[in-house]
Amino acid sequence: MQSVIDDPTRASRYLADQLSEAECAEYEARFIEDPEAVAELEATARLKIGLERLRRNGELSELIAGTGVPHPNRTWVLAMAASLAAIAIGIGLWFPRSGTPSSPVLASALTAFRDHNGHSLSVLATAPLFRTRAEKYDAVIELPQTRGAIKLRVLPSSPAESARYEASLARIRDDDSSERIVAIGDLQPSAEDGFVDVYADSALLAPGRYRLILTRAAAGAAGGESDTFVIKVNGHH
Amino acid sequence: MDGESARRLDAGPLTAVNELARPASAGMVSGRSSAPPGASQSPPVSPHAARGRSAAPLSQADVGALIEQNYVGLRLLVARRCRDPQVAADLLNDAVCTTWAKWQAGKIERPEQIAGYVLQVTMNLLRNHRRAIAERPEKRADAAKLQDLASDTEPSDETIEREIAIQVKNVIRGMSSQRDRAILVRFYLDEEDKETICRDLGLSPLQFDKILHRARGRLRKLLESGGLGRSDLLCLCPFL
Repeated sequence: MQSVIDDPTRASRYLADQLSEAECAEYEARFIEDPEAVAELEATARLKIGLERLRRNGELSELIAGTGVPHPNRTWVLAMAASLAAIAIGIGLWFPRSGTPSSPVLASALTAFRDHNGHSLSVLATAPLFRTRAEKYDAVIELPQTRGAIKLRVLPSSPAESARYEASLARIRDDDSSERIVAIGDLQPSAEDGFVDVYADSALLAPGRYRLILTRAAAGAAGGESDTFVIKVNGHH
Repeated sequence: MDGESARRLDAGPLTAVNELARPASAGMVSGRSSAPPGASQSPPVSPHAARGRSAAPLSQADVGALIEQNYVGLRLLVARRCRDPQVAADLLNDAVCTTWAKWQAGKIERPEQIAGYVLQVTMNLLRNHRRAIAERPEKRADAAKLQDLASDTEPSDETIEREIAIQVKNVIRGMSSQRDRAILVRFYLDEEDKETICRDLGLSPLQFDKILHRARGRLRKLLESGGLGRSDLLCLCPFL
């Protein structure tokens, strides 16, 4: 019997519900005959739990960037040079240029974002935003290595299928004051789960803290009601 | 890390199973409920005992303790998927009961198969549970319930999670390439598919697999040093 370990992705895909029913059944049959498969599954589960915890603690971006990890001198110097270059590029992207930007920071549809070939961007990260208790940030987003769209799924505190919403994004400065960047309107919640989806262009989102405010369009008693979410964006371009 | 958590993370799963299956004179595994001296004198006759093996029979509590102590990652993941630790505990308990009944009936040949049975049944029950929820007419996320998500972890699980995070941190630190670390996060945490990651980063499937192999190999080494041992996995049943 071919070991399930031959496919290094299977354990993770199984735990992520990404296997078909037939694949699931075949994989689960191996739990009984192959203790190695069970051990592999446990190791994968711990990896997922550990990564989740590190993200929640805000430690993950630093770990991925490799800061604080001892490097040979040459490698360290190269990494520092790359980081400085990335910061310079990030600053260049962040400060408004003269003229109309060719791509918005935030949009209600993925089709609003195009690469230089005119193709739509792919969604490289999805971040749900809903009320959490005792968390410093409602979401921590790791900027992808390549340009793509970041899907923000925002749950209003009082979802209503017929409601319309406006989303505004503001950058939070070091002194905790806010600088509004963009606002988009006429957002509709998903009929399936009530989340309001907005998309951000990862190339235009610099690392830092942001405030996303979802405001219900004024109509009826709940009009004007708003929910505020604090987002931390980690990484560098 | 307190003593209890250390026991939780240090005990290897198959080592624990084999400890449980040894004759009582070989000692008790931590977490196993102690029985009065006379209780083990006349245990129920299991098919294993009927075959002339003198090992003390496993109890349902033993099987539960095995999973509780040695498959913490899976247990925590099930709890996350259920969004309710009590539901997760019920599912696991049902799986343990089912597995123990199979063991008693002689339908499980070797003790090292026990964990696999429990997990198989647990995942089936979890799928049924989630299917039942998905079929409910009201599919909207309950904002009030979601508010409680952050506080769903049991205090003892907090310690376990912290220790797991330390292990994973060491795995990440052992990866020299930032690209490889990012792949780990995108695949295991963000659960993006391999093809998308390969396309974004210009990797071949083989390169991707090698990166995962290295990371997993490192994690397994860390876990083995804490007790999830390869040799333990292949250890024969000590029913002799």
